[in-house]
Amino acid sequence: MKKLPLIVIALFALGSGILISWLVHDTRTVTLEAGQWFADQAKILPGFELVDHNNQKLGNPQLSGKWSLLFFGYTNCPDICPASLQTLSNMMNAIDDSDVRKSIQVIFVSVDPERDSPEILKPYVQYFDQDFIGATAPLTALNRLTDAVGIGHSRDKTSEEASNYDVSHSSAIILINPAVEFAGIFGAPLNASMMARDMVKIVEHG
Amino acid sequence: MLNRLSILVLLMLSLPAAAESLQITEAWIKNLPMAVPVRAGYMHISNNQNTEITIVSLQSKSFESIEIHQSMEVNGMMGMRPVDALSIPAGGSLELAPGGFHLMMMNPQEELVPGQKVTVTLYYQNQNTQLIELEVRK
Repeated sequence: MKKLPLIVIALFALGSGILISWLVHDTRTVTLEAGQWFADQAKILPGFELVDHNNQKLGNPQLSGKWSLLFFGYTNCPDICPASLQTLSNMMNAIDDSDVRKSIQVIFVSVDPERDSPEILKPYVQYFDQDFIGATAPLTALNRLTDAVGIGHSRDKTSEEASNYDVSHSSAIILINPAVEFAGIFGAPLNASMMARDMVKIVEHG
Repeated sequence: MLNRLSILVLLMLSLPAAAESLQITEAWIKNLPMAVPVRAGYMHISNNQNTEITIVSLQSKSFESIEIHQSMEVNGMMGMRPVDALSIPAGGSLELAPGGFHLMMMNPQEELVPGQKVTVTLYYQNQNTQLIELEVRK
């Protein structure tokens, strides 16, 4: 009879443990320092296919197994795009753990396929970081990806010259998890050290 | 001697124009590889004069053309709009910084290197001009 309370306590402890671990595990959207991580609420990405800066396919298989950070812009954008890519480069440099660094890939997706050929994208992305990847695709193929992650983009109609136009685009950075699911978002203004701490947390706990 | 005097007189005559100039600090250009034809220029502008000064255009031998642009968010998307002129009120200042006002510098005439200084002429509405230097940064 004396052992019963012990069993009750043990069961209670076990139950609480399960409950706590369930609560902790059911992370839903986690607000980070610089963005939001959807954790186990991540959404599967539909099939898409871009061309990378080496003229190779870049689609769902190429995102598998890594944490990918996608920034959408265009090379004729002198202000927001270089500033964002520079922040991403600073973020990578701010991550000390080389294993964490190696598990992250940064991809610049051009929403201006007409002007941004792989030959232009390569020197452009590598200017910021040798490991950055540039990619683009004709608009219909591109929209399969941008629609899935809620990135808007549109060529400005006000531009006078046909070759000298601007493209408006969402400036958020999209996080794709190693299972190729839309897993988070970092909004402007971007901060390299905050993003670096967030990415370390995501990679270590994700 | 007369020549020196006349130079001195000329210098003194030019002083009022120089006194009307804007104070430009932290002026720099974000460099990019040559494959890309645009660069952004940034600076801090102060107007210590007692009249408003308006910059109407800019020119440099290092670029085919320079425009004033502003990045802005419209319907959740970042876009740019050209700005006709920049007015700096008397005693006021204006920041050209990433994500806001910036110089849209098109088609560099030669490859720029970090550390290099690029000379740009500011043209004011009051017909005055001012030479400024922007440092090229990686």
